Amino acid sequence: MRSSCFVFLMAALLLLPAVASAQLQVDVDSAEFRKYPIAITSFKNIGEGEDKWGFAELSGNVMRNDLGLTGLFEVLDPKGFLEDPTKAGIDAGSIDFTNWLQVGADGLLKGGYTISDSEITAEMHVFDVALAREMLTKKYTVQRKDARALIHRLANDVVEFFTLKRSIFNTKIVAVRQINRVKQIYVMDFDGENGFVLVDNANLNLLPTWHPNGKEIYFTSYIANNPDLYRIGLSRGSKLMKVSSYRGLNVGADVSPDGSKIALTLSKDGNSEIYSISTGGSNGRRLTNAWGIDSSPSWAPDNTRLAFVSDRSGSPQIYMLDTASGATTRLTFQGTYNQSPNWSPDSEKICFSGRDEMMGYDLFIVDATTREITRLTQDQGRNEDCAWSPDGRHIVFSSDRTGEYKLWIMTADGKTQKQISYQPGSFSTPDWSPMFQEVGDEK
Amino acid sequence: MKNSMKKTIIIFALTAFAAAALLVSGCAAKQPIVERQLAEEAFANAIAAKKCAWAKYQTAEQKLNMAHDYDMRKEYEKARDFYVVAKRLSDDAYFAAKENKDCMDELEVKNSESGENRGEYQNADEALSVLPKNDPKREEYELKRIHFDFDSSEIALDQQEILKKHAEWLSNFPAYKVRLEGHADERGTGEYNLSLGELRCFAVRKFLINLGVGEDRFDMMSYGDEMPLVEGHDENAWRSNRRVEFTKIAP
Repeated sequence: MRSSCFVFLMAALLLLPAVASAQLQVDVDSAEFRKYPIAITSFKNIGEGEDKWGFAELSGNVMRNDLGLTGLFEVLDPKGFLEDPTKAGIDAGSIDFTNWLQVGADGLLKGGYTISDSEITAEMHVFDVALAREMLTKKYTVQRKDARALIHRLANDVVEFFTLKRSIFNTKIVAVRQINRVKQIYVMDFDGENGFVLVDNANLNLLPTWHPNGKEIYFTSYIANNPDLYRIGLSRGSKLMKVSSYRGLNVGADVSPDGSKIALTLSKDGNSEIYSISTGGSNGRRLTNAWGIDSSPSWAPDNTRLAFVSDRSGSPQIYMLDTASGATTRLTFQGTYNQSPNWSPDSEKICFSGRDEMMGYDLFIVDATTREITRLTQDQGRNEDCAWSPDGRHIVFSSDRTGEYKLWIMTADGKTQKQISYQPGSFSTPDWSPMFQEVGDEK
Repeated sequence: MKNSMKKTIIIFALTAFAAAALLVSGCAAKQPIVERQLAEEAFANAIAAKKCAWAKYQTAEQKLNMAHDYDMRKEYEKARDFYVVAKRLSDDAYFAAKENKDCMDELEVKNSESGENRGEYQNADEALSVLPKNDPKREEYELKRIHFDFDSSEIALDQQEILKKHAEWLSNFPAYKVRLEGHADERGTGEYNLSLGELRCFAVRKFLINLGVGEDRFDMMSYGDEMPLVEGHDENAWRSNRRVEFTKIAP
């Protein structure tokens, strides 16, 4: 059947060229990627307990938002649904699939839950509409406070089903929030929810970055009257630890993916140079030696190479350094203002902040092997400070397109972009956490 | 940056308290953080209006203190209300003082970002002995800031003239040190601009050392684009913001 041949998931094809999912039928002959149209209904209370917390509405909203962000699905507007939700059930036998064919859905996602003061158990059913067949079933029990995380886990299951890789729905983002002239370190979920202030000392706190263990943040603060590097845990009551406090800059830290060392910019030698230090701040080793600025290191997934910025050619450009051999390669040759590279966690792609010939400040990707440049943003205000998601499919960045710098996330091709921070204040220099442990016991 | 020391101390003392409470409690979601920031900023502005709008200033201070008390006791609802009131009273005090022409000058000076009030450590006699008798800057007693071109740490000829005067002052007052503060305009990433501000400090330091100033006479700090002198998004603002500032450090 034609409609069962998903002309689907270019991303899946690119990322997993040799792998074919048992469930997934991919029309490899098609040159065109088409988003997979999916209808998502709010979950249905199938238990005795009264839902005083609005889980039904939450489930639909969170699931639609999550899957929409991936850029892989065309999430259909529930206003157009023909089915009477009070009559229809959540199993294949009680669904009239012609209702869903008519609204143009290839896939249908339904769910049911039982809820009490302490717990929620939710089950999800994903159907192939044309075949009128269930493709995926999942069921979890969580504490009620983890309701949102439960939907995120189910959404991850959906993405994994279609692409063999879990998505970003269980990640966090750390960024700087500015209110007046104070800059705080602020942590939020990947979708902007559950935000909280991690550090506020009425001073400047800058350039936060995650340790790959997901438990600690490194950042620079002026609190001791010098831009020093600090570390703080995410857990309640965690103490602030000073990591590097050389005279001058101790900025732009990036912890290597294996968690063994930190690359950062120090200016103790008379200009900005890149150093490698241990995560405790010892064993400093100088990695660059050039006139002018060398800064903004970002580790490659191999824990050996670094992308960084240097203005040794006369303008800031993106370079690559092999820390084992010391070999340095220039990667960008277009533009005269390329900065703040961030290396993808799983590929040769490096996103960076650049300025085009029209003086637009936008985000680009350079391939570390081919040096091919891809543009991600254009004509949408100023866009800067990109950071990859742990699955390598998304990028978080700050943009002033609404009049004030806020955080946005986009798919790695730049096509799907969405604002995530709506809290007061302006937001900058985001960094994406690793994947966290997911909630719930599978049933 | 250029607020009076008093303002800095007050903000720091008040917010450090609240920040500590925040970190310990972890109840970030409920605490009136935004309201607190707004109230403190408004109050800091109102300090300049102290003389001219004493009653309003005093009430604002009182309400802000109450807000902080509630904040510490985690009575966030009450804290929020008092922060809002403190902000309104602070604004009232500030604008009331602004209405009064005699007070306006004082406000202008206090709130000026132009650096005229940076002479906290200096001694007027010393400054006057350096400046020529007919110099209109005589009353400023300061080391003038210098400016840079975009993405550059080169010191233009006219800016070199300014630095020569600074070198002269440093040689006349050998017990003093000077603090260099490097800044960049808002364009480009904050991370790069930190290095750019630092590079500008080093360029100034090198230039002054070449004029005979001792290497140990300097303190340096880059703020990147974090502390603009002028708010604005045009070439005028950017030019003003690309700078190195000088502060005398008394022995």
